[in-house]
Order: sequence, then structure tokens, then C-alpha cells
Amino acid sequence: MKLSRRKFLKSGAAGIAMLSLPGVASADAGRIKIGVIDTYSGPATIYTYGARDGFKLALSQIGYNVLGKKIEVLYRNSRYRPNIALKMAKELVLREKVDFLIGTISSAAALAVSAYAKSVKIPFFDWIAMSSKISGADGHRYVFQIEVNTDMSGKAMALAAAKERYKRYYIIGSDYEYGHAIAESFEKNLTSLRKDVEIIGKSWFRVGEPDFGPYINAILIKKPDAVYAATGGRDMVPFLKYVNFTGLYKKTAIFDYTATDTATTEALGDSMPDGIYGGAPYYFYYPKTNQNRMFVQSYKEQFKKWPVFTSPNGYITGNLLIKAIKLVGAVDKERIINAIEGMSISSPVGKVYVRAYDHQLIAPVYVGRTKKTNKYPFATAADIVTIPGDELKIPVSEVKKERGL
Amino acid sequence: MDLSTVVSYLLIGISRGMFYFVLAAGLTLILGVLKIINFAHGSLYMLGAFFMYTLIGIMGKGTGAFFLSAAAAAIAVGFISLAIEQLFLKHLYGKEHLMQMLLTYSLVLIFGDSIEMIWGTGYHTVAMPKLLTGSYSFLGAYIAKFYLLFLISGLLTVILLWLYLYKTKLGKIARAVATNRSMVDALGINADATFMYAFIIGGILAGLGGAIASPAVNITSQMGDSIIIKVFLVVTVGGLGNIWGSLIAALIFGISESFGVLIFPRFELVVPFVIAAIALILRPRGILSK
Amino acid sequence: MRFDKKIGMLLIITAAFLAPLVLGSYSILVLSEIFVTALFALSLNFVLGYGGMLQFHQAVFLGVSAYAYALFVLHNGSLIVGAILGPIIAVLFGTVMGVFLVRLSGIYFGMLTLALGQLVWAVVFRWYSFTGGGNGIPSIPLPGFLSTSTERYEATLIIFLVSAFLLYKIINSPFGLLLRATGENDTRAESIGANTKTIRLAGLILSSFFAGISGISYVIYSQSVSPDILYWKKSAEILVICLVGGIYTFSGPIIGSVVIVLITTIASQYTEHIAFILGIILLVSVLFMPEGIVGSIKKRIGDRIAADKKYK
Repeated sequence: MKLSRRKFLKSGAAGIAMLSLPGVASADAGRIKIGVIDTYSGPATIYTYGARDGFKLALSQIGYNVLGKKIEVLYRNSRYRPNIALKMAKELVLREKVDFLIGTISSAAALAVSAYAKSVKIPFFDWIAMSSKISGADGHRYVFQIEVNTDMSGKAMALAAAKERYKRYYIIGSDYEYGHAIAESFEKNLTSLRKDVEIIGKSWFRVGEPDFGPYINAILIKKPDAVYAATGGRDMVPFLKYVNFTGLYKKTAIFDYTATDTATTEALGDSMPDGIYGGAPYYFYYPKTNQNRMFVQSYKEQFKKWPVFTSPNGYITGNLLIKAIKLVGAVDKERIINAIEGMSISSPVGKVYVRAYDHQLIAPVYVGRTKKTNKYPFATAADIVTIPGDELKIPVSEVKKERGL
Repeated sequence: MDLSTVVSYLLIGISRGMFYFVLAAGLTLILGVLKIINFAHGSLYMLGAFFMYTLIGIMGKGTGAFFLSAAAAAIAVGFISLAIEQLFLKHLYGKEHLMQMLLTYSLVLIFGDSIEMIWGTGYHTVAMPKLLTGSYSFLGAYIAKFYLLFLISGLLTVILLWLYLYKTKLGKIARAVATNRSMVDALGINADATFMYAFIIGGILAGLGGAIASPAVNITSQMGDSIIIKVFLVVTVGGLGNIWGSLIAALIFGISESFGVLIFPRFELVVPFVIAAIALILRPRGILSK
Repeated sequence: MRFDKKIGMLLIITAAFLAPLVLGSYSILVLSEIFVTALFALSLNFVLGYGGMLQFHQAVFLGVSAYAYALFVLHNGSLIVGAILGPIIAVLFGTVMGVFLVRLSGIYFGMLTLALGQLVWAVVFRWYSFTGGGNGIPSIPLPGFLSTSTERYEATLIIFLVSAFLLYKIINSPFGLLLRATGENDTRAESIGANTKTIRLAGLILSSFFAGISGISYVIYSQSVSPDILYWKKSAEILVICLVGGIYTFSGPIIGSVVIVLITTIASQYTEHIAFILGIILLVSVLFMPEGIVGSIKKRIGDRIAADKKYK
């Protein structure tokens, strides 16, 4: 009896000591600490590695050093689970005393971390999650959305669709916030641009649906002119597989945001159907500017792969932070936030800026159609149309309304 | 809803059910004979898909290569099952259910991460063979050719299992073990070999399921997580260890899910759990129980 | 011996209360997580270890309680009423499920817990407009007296201590003995004139109540909920904790929580493969230490005492 208790006490004490020991490194004056939380296991990595590597590139270009201070970045794998992301955010803030937080691909995780960041007054940069709640309804002083959100991307797809002759649309999507939000924005914008368009059916499948057959059947029976597919990250690849092998793309036009993105087309390879309308905030082969070419070259040199649509987000996040720290001349979080509000920055997609009111990145979307060529072993976007960020942004008055102001 | 719609959804439902049966048959065989709930069945399914991915990479993209790879992947998973049985499970025969179950759960955790260490994170794609792309259309309704793969694999499983259970000595012993364990022991039959073969066959079927699903699903380290619970429910509704009960349950699940998408798509996810709950409440020992 | 044990316990409890004076805020947070997990594990072990019921989906009760609190508060309900409502909802679920569950036994019982539990998860996950779907509820208000991390820590500690004390008393009460009897052997319990179904149902209801309490504790610790907390994997995690600690002892699940929470917390700073590490721990426990940490320590001490007696 005695032994077990003593042993228990000892092991407990040892464990707690281990927790507190390495963490005592209090806010070190000579360092800037950044905590990155994202999903670094499982299929989401095709996007999360992109953002991370873009960020690494930005930091390595200044030698991980700003104002004579060393930049230290700590990465944590939140495994797509919001409760783990939140725990890691707490660990990074309380134990590692990071100055800034960055993440995540999961909107749920981003919202949870954002709420925590607000309570501890640590700036948080969302670099992949697209929920417009992040900078909209749930926005606040300490969160930045360095990614085109669902309101903007849905609108971009609607602008592209409005130019086509299709009238009868069917909407299908992943049954979670991203799917509903982007489809809603698409429908709202398209039907206000084109009074002759009608939505003839809608269906929602669960995230991670293993068999799209019955859903595709439902579409085939309705015979729409076009389908808007609001497929989230997890469903994108298998949904397009089904589109391909059931031959759905031969019977109806298909619009699907990020279907043209390199991460998607690379994952699908030969199984990528041709002629799918897709949009992305970036392609490594477009825009054809010197700046993009240089970005792609150094990215490929360092990481041995093509940048994907999230890569510039990481790059922009890094450069925004560096620029703001330099401007302020100190790691003063409140003044850094003020500096980033309204800040514009040159990037692989040209000049982009962070809107002062809601901290939303205003950047363009490129819409095109998938096409297999001999140049790459995967499909790329053809007939690309650029839709500038200022045409996509949601009026501040609407953001205010979402926030109940 | 016209007749052609009903027919096409029925066909999809039956194919889906047959696919569930391929997975459920292996699980229920193991349950009946070894009295073990094998959580790792989902992991073996996943391994089948990953082996398929690697084999297709070696053998190429033709239709013949596809079927050869599927068979090879299933057999490879059979060997993994053999290793699991000999290394770990063997030591737990006669121990509590909970311990056996937690052992198989530990394998779920280990396999999930090992697969990422071996194959890397991200997507792995197996192309659908040409023969199975496209759709058949009849009377204004459609069905993807790909479903033939599920239908045929399901039928093949039915036939082979019937041959094994009713025509081979090992299978007959397996049936006897499942119904009356003590009598078999009393007759002095060595049950160890029966256990081993049942576990291997279960594994092969899981691997086959993974291989045939591979061109249609996300091949990831998490692909086994959600399917395993559904297959558990199929097996339970069918009556633990009752293979033909599982066949009926699998078809019920497949067909009702398919029509669930058509009739109330927003709550399709709930369908299998509702069926299972109702079935277990009304017929707690499985649909074929007396 | 008795006296010594009591003093030891008092020392540990005093130390736990004073911990925020010495430890950093992150260590305090991890300790809170241990208290939440330990209470949740105790609630499971009450039916699993003592009642002998294969409860595979205990997380449902933690989850519905946490969601009940969060949703009630978000719809402008009182915070205190919400905290009371949580466990009541958990008990409601426990009772309804329990009525059907007690008719089954063994693996069938386990499978029905999975089916019903996943049903609840699917509804929470799908009912986007009410529960927030996959996003969960990222920010949940707490009462004013829980505004600092120390206050939240002390709250999870007190909830854990009081609940653990109550559970201990119940297990050692006449009802606890009956529950254990049904767990070990249905027919024997019946032969002494006990209605096993009623006892098992009462066990399930009590267990869902304490799981519901741990749900409130979870909200205090995390201030957010997501459907993950009632997915079957959460239930599997807690089963692993009970087993590693030892399911045939009262303190086993507590020790299991300490060990597993500390290991995952520390390891996640260094590796992305936590599941692999947990898998190996579980594998080794099942094969070589099926009685769990506490069980095998007790056994070893028991053996030594027996051996000592032999040679005397």
C-alpha cells in the first residue's frame, strides 16, 4: 500500500516537473517566438505543408532575423481536431510564451483558437481556413484572415458562371460550414447577377462521404445545365474521382472552387476530369509575372515541390509580420496590429492588402478550367480570368451587420 | 419518384450492401469462431487499399493489372493477419473480451501512424480501370459501371464463403466451434488451426474490401475509422457470428442508405445508427435469431 | 496503516490545492485536464470495472452535458442553471439508453452502446443550425467566479474530489456490492434475490450522471465544445486510460489519466505520432499487464506479503 502511493507521488511530481522545466524560458528579450498550429498528419497536409513552406521561405529570406532578434517558430500538429488545436494554442501561449499564433486549415479549430487569442490578446493569423465568420461575425481585434474567405470565393465563382449560358443549376456540397457558406455566396451573387438562372435542386453529403454514387445519380436524374459543387478539402478529391468515372462531367458543366488548384490536380493525376470550372487565389504558373516566377523558383529550390494555393498565404503572413515588426521597431503587439491594419504588401499575386476594419486579406481569385497538357503530369487551369480582390470584397457595412453592430 | 429512379437507387443500394458484406463477412467469421471483436478490421481494410496503391504502381494501369493487384493486395493482408494472430492474439484466447478488443484497438492506433510513416501523408490515388468507367443508362436512369465491382466481389465472397463453410473440413469445424465450443474441445479437435484460418480469411476479405474501394475513396490513414463502426453494426444486426444474417443486414443498410440520400439527404448519416438501434431493441440477438 | 493512508491523502489534496502558487499556468492547465479526464474515467469504470458492462460509448454523456450547458448559456440562459442542466440531460440520455441496454449483455450490449452513441454524435454533427455542426461552439461564457485560470483549476479540482468521494462511497455501499455482484456473475446476484436489470440500470444512470458532471468540468477546462468530444474515438481513448490504470481498482482510472495525459502532453511537443506511442503502450499493457498499473502493483505487494508469510 505504502509503496504504491509513494511511487504515485514520485511519478506525478516527476511528470509535473517535466512539464514546467523546459517551458520556463520566459519572454526572452532577444527572441521573437511564433507558434504555428495546423494539421500535420493525414491528407490535409497537401494544403498545410504549402502554407508552412511559404512561411518558411519568407522567414529564410531574412535569415530568421528581424531588428537583430532571432525568430523562433514552433510547429504543433493539431490533427484536424479543434480541441487539440485549442490545447496547443494554450500550451504555446502559456508555456512557450509565443508572441504570435498562426494556423489552421480547420475552420472549427481556427474559430476556437481565435476566441482564445482574443482572451489573451495574442495576434492570431488564420492562413487557410476560409470561413467568413473568422473575419466576419466572430472577428475581433486580434484575428487576421490571410486567405480569401468563402464570401469572396463564392462570389468569384458566381462572376465566372454569370458569363456562361447555363440557366438550370444544381448545388451539391459538403455538409459543414464551408460547403454551405460558399454555396450560399455563389447562389446569392449568381441569382442577383442573372435573373434567368434557377436552382433546380440541392443536396448535401457528409464530410468524408465514402460513396458519392447516389448523389451523382440524383444530379443525373434532374439533368441540370450546370452543377455547383461546394466540396470541402476532404471531399474534393474523391468527389472529382466520382465525377470522372461516372462520366458526370460529360453531361453537365461543373463549377468547383479549388478544383483547378495544383494540390487537387496533383492528387488526382489521370483521374482529373477535363473542363471543370475552378478557382484559386493562386497558381504557380499564373499570374505570369516576374515576381511569381522568382517565388516559384526559390520555393521549388528549397522544398522540391510546386507551390499550391496556400503557399502564398504563408509567404504573405510571414512578410506582413516582418514588415510590421520593422515598422514598429519593437515586438509591441498592439502597435503591430495597428500597423498591419490597412497594410499593403507585394506578393506572388501582386499587391494585396489587409482591410483595416475586419482584418480580411483582399486578394484576387483566378478562375479557369481544368485541362491536361503534356507540360505537367497533372491538369492545370486554362483560359484563366483574373477577378481582382476589390471586386470580391464584402462591403464593411455587411460585416458590421454580421457582427450585430 | 418514377420506377427508373427507384430501380437505379435499388441497384446502388444492393451494390453498397454487397460491399459492406465483403467487410462484414470477415468480421463476423472472426467473431463467430474466435469470439473476438476485431477493431483492427478497419486497419486491414486500409492496408488493402495501400497495398493496392503500391501494386498498381508496379503493375501498371490496365484492367488486368487492376484485378491482379486486388487479389495480391488481399492475400498480402492475409499474411499480415497471420502475423497478428500468431504474435499477439494467440496469447489472449480464453481471456476477457475487453482485453482482446483493446489489443485489436492498439493495432488500430499503431497501423494508422505506421502507414503515414511508410506511405507518407496526403492523398494516394488508384485510377479506376477503363472497363469500369462511365455509366449504364436505362429508361432515363443511370448506374455507374463501377458498382459492378462491388456486386461481383460481394457475390464472389458469398460463394467462396459457402464453399469454405460447407464443403471443407476446416470450415465445418469452424461452424461447429461457432455454435458449440465445448463439444468441439471434447471431441479433441485442435481448435488452434481453425482459429488461425478463420482469422486469415477474415483478413483477406478486409484486404479485398480495401482493394476494391481504393479507386473510389480517399486512400488515407483514417479511412478505416468510420467504416469500421458501420460494419460492426451490420455484423451485430445480423447476429454476431451469423454470416447469412450479416448478408441480409448489409443489404438492409446499403439499400436504406441509398434511399436515405434520395428521400432525406440531410439525415442520411443518421440512417445506419437508427436501423441498428431499432434492430437491436426489437431483435437483440440479431435479425435471424429465433 | 489506516492513519498513514489518510495523512497521505490529505497531503496530496493540500498540495493539489496549493499547486497554483508554485506551478506555471500551463502546468495548472494540464493538471485540470487530468482532473477532468480522471473523473470521466471513474464514471466509465463504475459500469465497466464494477458493473461488468461493456460500455463502449461513455463520451456521449460527457458530450451531451457539455453541449447542454453551452447551448443553454448561448441562448441567454443562466450560467448556474446551465451547469445543473448538463448532468440532468446526461442522466436523461443515460436513462433512455439504459432501459434498452440492460436487456442485452456482453458484446451485444457493447454494440448497442456504440449504435446509440454514434446516433447522438451524428445528430449533433448534422444539426448545424442548432449545435454549430462540425464547428462546435468555440467560445462558451463561464460565471464570473471562474474568470482566472487559478479559479478554473480549483473548480475542476473540487468537482473531481467531491465526485470521486461520492463514487467511492457508492461503490462501497450495499448498492455498490450488488452492482459488483451483477458484474461478476449475473446468476449469483439473481440467486440472492436481486433484480439484476434494475441494478444495472441504476448503475448506468449513476455513471451517466458523473460523466455529465465531468462534461461541465470539461467546459470549465476548455471553454469550447466540438462534436469530437462525443465521437467513438473519445470513448476508446477513455477505455484505454481505464485499462492502463487498472479496471479492477478504484484508483486505477485516476492513475491511468495521470499517465496518459502526461505522456500525450509531453510527447506532442516532440512528435506527430502520438497515436503510435499510445498504441504501443496499450499493446504492452494488454499483453503483459492486463490488471493495469495499480492492479499489478497491488498484486506484486500482495505476492510479497504472501511470500513473507510463507517463510515465517
